Amino acid sequence: MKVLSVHDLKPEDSLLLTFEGASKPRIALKKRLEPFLDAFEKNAEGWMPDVVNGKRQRKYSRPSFFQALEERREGNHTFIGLYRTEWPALDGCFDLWLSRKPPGLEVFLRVQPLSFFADEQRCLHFVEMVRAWASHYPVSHAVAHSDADRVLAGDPRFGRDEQTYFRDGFDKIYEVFWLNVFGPRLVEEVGRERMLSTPAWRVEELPNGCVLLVTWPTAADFASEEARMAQARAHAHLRPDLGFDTVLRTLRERSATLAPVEPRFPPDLAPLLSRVVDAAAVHERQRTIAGLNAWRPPEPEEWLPLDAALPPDVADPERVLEQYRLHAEHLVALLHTPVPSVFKATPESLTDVDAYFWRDDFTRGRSREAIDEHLVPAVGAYLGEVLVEHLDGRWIPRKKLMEAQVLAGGRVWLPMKRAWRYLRSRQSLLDYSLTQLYREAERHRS
Amino acid sequence: MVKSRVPPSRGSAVGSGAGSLLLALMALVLLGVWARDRPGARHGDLGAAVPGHDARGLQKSRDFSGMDYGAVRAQMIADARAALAYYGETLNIRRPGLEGRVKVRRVRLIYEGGALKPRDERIMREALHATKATVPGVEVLFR
Repeated sequence: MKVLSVHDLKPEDSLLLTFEGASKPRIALKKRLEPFLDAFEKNAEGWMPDVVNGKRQRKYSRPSFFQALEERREGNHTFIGLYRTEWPALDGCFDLWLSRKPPGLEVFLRVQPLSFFADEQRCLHFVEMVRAWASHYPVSHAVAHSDADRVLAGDPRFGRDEQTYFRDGFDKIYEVFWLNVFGPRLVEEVGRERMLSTPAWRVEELPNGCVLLVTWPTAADFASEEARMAQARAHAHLRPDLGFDTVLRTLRERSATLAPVEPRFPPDLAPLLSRVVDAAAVHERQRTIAGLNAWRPPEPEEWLPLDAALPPDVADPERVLEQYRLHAEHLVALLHTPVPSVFKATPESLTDVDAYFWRDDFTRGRSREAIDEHLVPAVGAYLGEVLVEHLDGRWIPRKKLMEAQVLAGGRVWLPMKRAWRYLRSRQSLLDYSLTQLYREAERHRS
Repeated sequence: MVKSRVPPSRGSAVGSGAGSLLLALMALVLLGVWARDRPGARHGDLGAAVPGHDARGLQKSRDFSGMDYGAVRAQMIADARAALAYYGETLNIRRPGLEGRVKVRRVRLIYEGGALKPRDERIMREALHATKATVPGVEVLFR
């Protein structure tokens, strides 16, 4: 039973529901959670979890749900993971806090992709599910909205430091999202009448005093002008101190940040840059593409024309070449677990190395001396070996390591020098990538 | 429960607040426990020659990058509980001149950052938050 992870899908936005509620004490757990599971099973058609994960993974069923809760229980807390084996992917968690009074119930559900919720009927079911949950388990606050847009809005800290957020939670209307349930405290803060008169697609007072507010019929098109207008109207109504125009401007800015940008990368570097883009968080993806579209790496300067090549100056060339191979071997030793393709030492391996160093931000926090002394020779020698192997190159050994050259395609390349420039910072990993030097050398092969 | 540990080789203040915290943290660092088990990180000479960041606390390496929220949380909570069970109690300091029992008030669990971090910030933040709520005595950080 292989779970479909959100990481298995192409990076896309998701619908994220967070729900913090309370359940009735002194009722057997199965009875207590019956309304929860009833509403879930009834309304989550097409995205219902089919796997529950306690300490072990099981096919979803009511007995296995409770079995998992029991299995994971430590003291007064238990939680389980909820997943799917098929598209759309679900990354979910269900928590029970038995020591709280009343006992706490928390839900985290992330369904990817968000576009799955373009369907009005499906969204209606989603709203009905949350409505049923909030009716049975009074919430302090619940939200469902685009995950990326939530992050851009500053959710969940909304500009506060971690400690303040931990202490206060969602204690005022920092933001209005697609679907919101406000608990009695928030309702009181705003004023019940004011809250119930919010202009929105759906505003409903629940029997326990919570208020359900949905700004717009569908979740997927949250960034459209109409949906943003609706969102701004509701938010400005609940927070008159902010002003409609300011709220709308902020929302439009967020929509612009998330609007798709077509990649226009230099062909040589496209495989590397698309990896950089994939490593970016979804809310930063389009900005990253735009930034890389505008960026161009400098032309490689780590080469000499043939007639300027430095002649070999070592007594025992074989020994020096052996040393280069050993340096290259060190890079394989360092990276073979996270980057298994280093064993192959192909041009594609260079791109994998570039992508890994970039993603790991490898130079950050590491001592410059150690990098220069150990990593530069390893990376430089590895690059040199790939040039030798794949472009019919030849090392020209030198006493000074930094002067080591590879003769390939009518030019003499300086891989150590390249490695030194490459390993200065995260940005320099892109500006002086191994991939680019290789492709440049490939082009100059006569 | 009192656990005996090798005394730290240095340490000036024992007893209240920051002193005991510092001492406890140093003890953890010096004991060298919870070795870095990052796969591949220490292979060959190069891994040791180009070490990562220096930070005080319990160092742990876990590859969270491909994990979903539930899995990250489960791992973090398990690690935090284990750390607390192991260190979050009373240390019996036997170094001459510093003898006595110190209560460890806070255990710090530091995960390796970079490529091993959870891939998105949401997962990382939520998991840190949930761990703090579940195991309050442990401070969890990413380098």
